[in-house]
Amino acid sequence: MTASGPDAGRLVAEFLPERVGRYRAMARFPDGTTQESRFIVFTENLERLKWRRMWWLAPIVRASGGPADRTGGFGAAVAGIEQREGRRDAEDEVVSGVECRLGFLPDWFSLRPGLVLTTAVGTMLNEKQHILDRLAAADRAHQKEAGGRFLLRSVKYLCVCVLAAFVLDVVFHLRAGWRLGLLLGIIGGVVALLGVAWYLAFVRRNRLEHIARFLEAALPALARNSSICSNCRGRLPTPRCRR
Amino acid sequence: MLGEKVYFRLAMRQPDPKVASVPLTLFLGDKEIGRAT
Repeated sequence: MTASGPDAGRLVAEFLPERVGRYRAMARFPDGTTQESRFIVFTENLERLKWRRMWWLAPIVRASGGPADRTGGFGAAVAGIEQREGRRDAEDEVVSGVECRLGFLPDWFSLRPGLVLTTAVGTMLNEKQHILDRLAAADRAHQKEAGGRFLLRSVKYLCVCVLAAFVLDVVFHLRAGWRLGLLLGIIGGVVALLGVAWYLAFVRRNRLEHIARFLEAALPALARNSSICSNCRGRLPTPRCRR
Repeated sequence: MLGEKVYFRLAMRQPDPKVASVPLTLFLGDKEIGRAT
C-alpha cells in the first residue's frame, strides 16, 4: 500500500480479483504487527428467487431478478443481512493502531463499508440496495397487474353503458345528435379508463414497505424472516466508531 | 463481484512521514497470489 496524494497518513492499494473464492489480505506494518482482512469474490447473485411453487407470483419474481433456485430464496438472503447486522457491533471493534472504518477486521469477512470497496463490489455491500431495487421492480410488476385488473373489472361497466345506450335508443328513438353524444361519451369513458389503468400500471408507486409486506404475506419464507420491511427502513448500515 | 476492483485504504492515526508504504499480501485460500501496491 502506498501513500495517496498529499495526505501522508493514508495509504491505498487496489486489487482486481480474477477468480472467485475466499480471499485474505494481510498488511505488515513497520512495527512488525499485521492486520488481516477477508473477503469473498463471487459471481452469483444470491438474491434471486425461484418461482417454481408460486406460479401466481411469477411476473413479480421475474421482475425482481429471478428465477434461480435456492433454498430459502429471498428470505434466506434477508436472513443473511440480519445475521451480518447482528455481528456489526463485534466487527466494529477498534483494532489497536488502526483507525476505525479501515476494514481490517479481527477475524471475519470484511463486509462492512469500512473495507472501502467500490460500490459495485456485489451483494456483500449492496445487498440492501439490491433488495430495494428489486422491491421497486416487484412493485412495478405488481402495479402493472393492478392496472390490468382495473381494466378488466371496468369492462363490465363498459358493457352496461353500451347496453344502456342501446336500450335508450330503442325506447326513446333518440335523434342522431343524442346517439352521437352517447357514442362520444362511451368513447370518452373508455379513454378515461385506459388512462387510469396506465397511471396505475406505469406511474403510481407504493411504498417499498407495502410491497415488502405483500411479498411477505404471499411467501411464508419471507414472513418467517419478516425483516424486509426493517431493511427498507434501515437502508444501508452506517459504520459506528467506538473509541 | 468478480471483475470489480477491490480498494484497500489505510489511515494512520498518527501519520508518520517515514511510513510511505506498507506491504499488502493477498491470499486466495491459503495460497499467496500476489502483493498489492
